[in-house]
Amino acid sequence: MSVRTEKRQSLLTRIMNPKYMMVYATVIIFLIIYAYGAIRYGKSGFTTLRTFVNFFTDNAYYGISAVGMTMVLITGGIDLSVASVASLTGMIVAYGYERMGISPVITMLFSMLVGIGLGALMGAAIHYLNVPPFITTLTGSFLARGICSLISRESISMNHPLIDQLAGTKITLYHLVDGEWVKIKPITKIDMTVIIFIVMIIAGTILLQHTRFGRNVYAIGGNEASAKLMGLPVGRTKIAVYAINGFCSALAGIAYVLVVKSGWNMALLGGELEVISSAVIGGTLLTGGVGYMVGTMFGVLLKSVIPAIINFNGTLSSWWGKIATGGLLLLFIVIQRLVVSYTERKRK
Amino acid sequence: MKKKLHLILLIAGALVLAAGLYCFASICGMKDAVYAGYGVSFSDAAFQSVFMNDHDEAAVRADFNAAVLSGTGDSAAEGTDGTEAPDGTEAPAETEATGAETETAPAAAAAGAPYDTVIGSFSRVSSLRTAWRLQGIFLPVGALLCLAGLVLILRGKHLDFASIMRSKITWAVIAEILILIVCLIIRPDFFSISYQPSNHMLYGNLIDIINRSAEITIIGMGMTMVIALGGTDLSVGALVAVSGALALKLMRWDPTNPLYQTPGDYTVYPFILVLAVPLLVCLLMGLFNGMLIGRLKLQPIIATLILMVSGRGIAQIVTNGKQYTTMYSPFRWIGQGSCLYLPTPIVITVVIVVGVMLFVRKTAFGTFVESVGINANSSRLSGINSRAIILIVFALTGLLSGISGLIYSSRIMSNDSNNAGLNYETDAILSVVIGGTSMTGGKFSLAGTVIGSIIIRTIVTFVYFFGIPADATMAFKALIIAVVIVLQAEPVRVWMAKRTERRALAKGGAMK
Repeated sequence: MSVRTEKRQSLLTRIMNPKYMMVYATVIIFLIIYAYGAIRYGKSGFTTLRTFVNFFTDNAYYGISAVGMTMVLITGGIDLSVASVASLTGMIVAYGYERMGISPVITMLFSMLVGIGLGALMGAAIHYLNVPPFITTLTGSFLARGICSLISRESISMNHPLIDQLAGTKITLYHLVDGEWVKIKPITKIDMTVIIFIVMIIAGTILLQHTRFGRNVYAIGGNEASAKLMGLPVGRTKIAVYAINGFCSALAGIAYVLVVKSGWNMALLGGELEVISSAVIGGTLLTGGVGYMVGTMFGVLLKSVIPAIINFNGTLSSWWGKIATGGLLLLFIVIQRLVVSYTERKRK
Repeated sequence: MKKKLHLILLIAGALVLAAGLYCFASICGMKDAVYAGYGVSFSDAAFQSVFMNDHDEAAVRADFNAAVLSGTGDSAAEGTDGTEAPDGTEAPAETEATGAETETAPAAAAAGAPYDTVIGSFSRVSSLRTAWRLQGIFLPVGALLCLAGLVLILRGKHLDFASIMRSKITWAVIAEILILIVCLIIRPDFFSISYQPSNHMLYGNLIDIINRSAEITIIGMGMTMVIALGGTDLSVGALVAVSGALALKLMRWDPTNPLYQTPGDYTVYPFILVLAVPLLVCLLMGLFNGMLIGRLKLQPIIATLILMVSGRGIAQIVTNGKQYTTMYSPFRWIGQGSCLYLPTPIVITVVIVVGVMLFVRKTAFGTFVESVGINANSSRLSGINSRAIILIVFALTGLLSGISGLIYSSRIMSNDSNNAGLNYETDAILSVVIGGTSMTGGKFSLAGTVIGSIIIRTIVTFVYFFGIPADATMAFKALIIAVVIVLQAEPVRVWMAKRTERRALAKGGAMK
């Protein structure tokens, strides 16, 4: 059972498959905005590799969470609890070490279990009780945020060698100059969160594109009723998807702890919509059935290019960032809409 | 028999209401006597601190005398400590108060003794105490019974126990009553209502709950129909911020002044304009949402996400990131004033709820919305202009968010682009769902949404009232909502309906 047993088509037709159009659109718009930045602010350092790597670093924790969110959206669901679960993770890790003296390794594993458990619980409620995902995960979000506040109402900063070491683990990039390896200037470092982000994107791609589970996910998103009639394990898959998303949120929380080195009950407030909009900008349809990890990655990158441009400009206020993000979102869904209606017309 | 039940409900309600009013009047009588005899208003807080905390007659006598003689009833709470002088605002009142306190209670009683002239005996104290507790229970219960009787008479429907138990609203009402009963058990005077002559307004926890739920109820009216169409509107919170920002900007804007702003106690533009522009802008933003969803067929969640994200940015740009404050009194009236002895937001809410209900149920509009929500295509084929319906519903939601934003900013007398309307979208959606409207679209219940929004506010009040940290409200909200939603979930209700049916069958079998 593999994709390769399909009838071989020419490379061009396979690449130009309309189902990838959205991903291409995302990539192209990213490139256009990047090119604009490069032309406008190239002299002040927009084109350096460090700026590019920073696109990943800025929103790495959103990206990690977006991996799970993409899967949830492909099944046709939605998860509003990701930011709260990430914040809860940060709180568990920080409180566990600073107030109870538990090693971060144990609290990290524990918080991953919490994330998986909460995700599976919500998935079960969605599947077996038929409660809309929106409401279920909203309740889950309230619960996670409330527990967070019950643990502590103030920010707990933490200081542990392991966290410092993890946060300090960075890969410095070198390049070859006259047969000698020299550090790229300005010094470019890839830190732990970016590594997790990229690993998760790759893992997500493999899971979605090359496993039976991934095909089940797409099938459920395409049409849940027919997936059920085909004998696919709908309930199990849906619960697993929400559990994976819970795991991703916990991982995103850990990445966030590595960045801010503290736990706060109101951390990442509103982050769930950042994550969802990244996935949507990346071409995932909220109706389910369509979506790619690569697109999601570019969606996350797009979300950090715009603030970067506003930063380089220096005169625009950060409020314009919000408006620009909204405008971008509008642009994308209109493109999405056009692509979908185009393919529908073509099919007819 | 069934006709009689309506009448029984109505008469019982009227009797209970009358008993509640009698209790209310007896407390008011005491307060009036204080006012007539000593020229001092005796406030709610003072009443509680004097009559509810101490059971000993001597203590009540001393506290009462001190509270009345100190000039302001409010300072009685601090005055009970005895040693420190109450921070009275008027100088003569203060000297009197210190005089009353340096002497002992019997001496004060001998000197003029408000306690002996107004209260008279300790049995009066205990009867006042009971009246204070009972009026809070009698008034709402009586009102509810009367309302239930009236609704039954007006609807002319027969009472069918099974259909009532199957209705989602019933469960919402039961949940609300259970929470209130828990409140009542913990604080026996939780329901008490009192009248504040200085503001011409009734005070009490129940009134406060309804007052504070006004914003969500108003938005919920629109949100109910949005959800009945099968969508959600995430932008309402941002529209609340936009409306507040615009109102405050216009109120403070003065082009003739070198600072471009007024000191805050008058407006250059007519007040009607100050109110109309934010509402118009919110209406247009709602129309924008409706266009995206109706014309471009975008998904409501993502289409409204655009304004949710950029709306707060727009609000910031309108005010240039500033936080204006105002002291303009007509504007204060919207959120803090009183109308018909009730806080104005309650009256506004009632007007809007009744207006929307009439519009939706007395015209075919509600049926159209339900039809589009169930199947947009087939309703289009049967001649309903589903685009126009979607446009109207989203524009209405925008307008209602604007009204809610005016109320919110009038409460804080300022604009706050970051926190105004924060999480209103989730609260509104939750109140709709708790009220029994299904997220999948179709049938909707506006009355259910009102109850849902009151439930949410009750939970919050409950949490504040009993000193639970405010941030932990969310955990309680989540638990209670989880219970309500699980009870309302279709499989659970089907299971329960089957169980009751089986029982009925078993009973019938036994009887045969």
